Amino acid sequence: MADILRVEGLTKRYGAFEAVADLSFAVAEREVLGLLGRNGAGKSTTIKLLCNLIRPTAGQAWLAGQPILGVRGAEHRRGLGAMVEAPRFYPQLSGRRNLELLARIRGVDGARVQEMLETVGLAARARERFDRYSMGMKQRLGLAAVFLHRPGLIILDEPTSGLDPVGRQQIHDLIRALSRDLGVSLLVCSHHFSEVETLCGRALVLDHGRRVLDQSLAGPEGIAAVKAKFQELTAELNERRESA
Amino acid sequence: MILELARQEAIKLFSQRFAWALPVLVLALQAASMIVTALRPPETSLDALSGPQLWADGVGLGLRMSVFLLLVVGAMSFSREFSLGTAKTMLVLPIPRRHWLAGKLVALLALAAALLLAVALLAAVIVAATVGWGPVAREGVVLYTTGQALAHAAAAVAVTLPLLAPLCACALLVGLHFSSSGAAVGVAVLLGLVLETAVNLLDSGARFVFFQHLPRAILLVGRLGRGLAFQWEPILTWGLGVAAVSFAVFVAWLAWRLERMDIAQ
Repeated sequence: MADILRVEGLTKRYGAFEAVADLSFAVAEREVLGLLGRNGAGKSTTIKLLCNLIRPTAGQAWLAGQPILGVRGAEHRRGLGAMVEAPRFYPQLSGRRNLELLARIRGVDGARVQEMLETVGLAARARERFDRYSMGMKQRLGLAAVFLHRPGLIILDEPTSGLDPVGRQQIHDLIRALSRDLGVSLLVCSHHFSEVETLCGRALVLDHGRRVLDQSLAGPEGIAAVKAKFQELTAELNERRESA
Repeated sequence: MILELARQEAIKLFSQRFAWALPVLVLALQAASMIVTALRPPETSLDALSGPQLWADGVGLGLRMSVFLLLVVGAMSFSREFSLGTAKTMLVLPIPRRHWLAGKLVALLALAAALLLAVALLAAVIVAATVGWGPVAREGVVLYTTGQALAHAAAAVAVTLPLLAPLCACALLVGLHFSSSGAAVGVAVLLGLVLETAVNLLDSGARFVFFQHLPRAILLVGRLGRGLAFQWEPILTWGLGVAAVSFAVFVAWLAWRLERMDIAQ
């Protein structure tokens, strides 16, 4: 299967500190790839680099064969949908109004906005202000926004951050249903092993900005390998914290 | 796309209460000041207030308050996007950063135009309802007809709008440097106070300071209202020229800064 996203030699340095170091990976069409790592592993920086929020020190990424980093214009981002860190919307506007603003920029019609509101279960409360939404409702609106224009690749950064177990389960079900229906590729960034295990078919474990494991989660051996590596990294961090 | 982004900026702005409250406050203070001035009886016949003079004084006051309003709204424009995190949502969209900037600038200029128009129209209504436009006369000699006075007033408004453009760009630039709306507004108000002081200090010299020219067109109409000499030349040359150069510098600085900016937080 062809790659929807290809990343080569991605590097981000802040002075002497290397947040992401020579990172290379690819996401195939319809694949769900998990970026797993403890806090500070370089996951969010990778996502921000791919979303054009920060500029790379070195490296390039291709979305559907087109380079996307350090490129003039923004047409190359048309096939991308991303929720970075948390769903961010204008608090004084309603959920529907927020989606409508994004839809107009993306050239999506009003019927699709209504369809997405119904899909994520917010149609009945679409006229309420965004700042009156619960955390779960905000996450669902965020998902509606990233799936709105039927992109080829969706990037989700900590999609269940701040949710209780029931809320997390609901969001996981929604992500699975939406990605299955649209046949999109997903890049999910998380520091919860269970989240990556639930959503992803392959995991890329990061530490200190470097790839330490690239493993399929198709079988129990793969799952065990990723879990063991992640636990090892987490234990190492805990030891360092205790000694400090 | 830039017009669509500008339209969205207006929607975001006017969905907040302060965006309605501040212009209403400016207009209310302007109206109160003008009505008090108009109703005060002149001590001598030479002190008699003419329509153009009252209009210019009123619009001058409204404009000075509008400068603060534009600085505050402009400074909040980017800083609020950063503090809410919506900058990340916007920058993931398939729009170049310079279009995002252009949308904000167009929206702020439209607000400046609307404010200027509202301030000028309100002053005109109060003039018509109190002292009247009438011909400008001094000691029984008509210096300007009503038509001439109105034409000068309209031209003054038209010329003042481009003078507001660099101010709008400057306010956006302030906001671009802060991720806290409070800090951005604080700096913008401080900047407004410095400009206000500069206008007063440099009122008789230093023609290259464009802020000095901001209310100048309006104030010159006031000179007309007092039967004094009236000159457009300094505004049409130095005023607009310096405003155009300042605007270009601020916009280039904004575009450069935004293009190179990392949205990490």
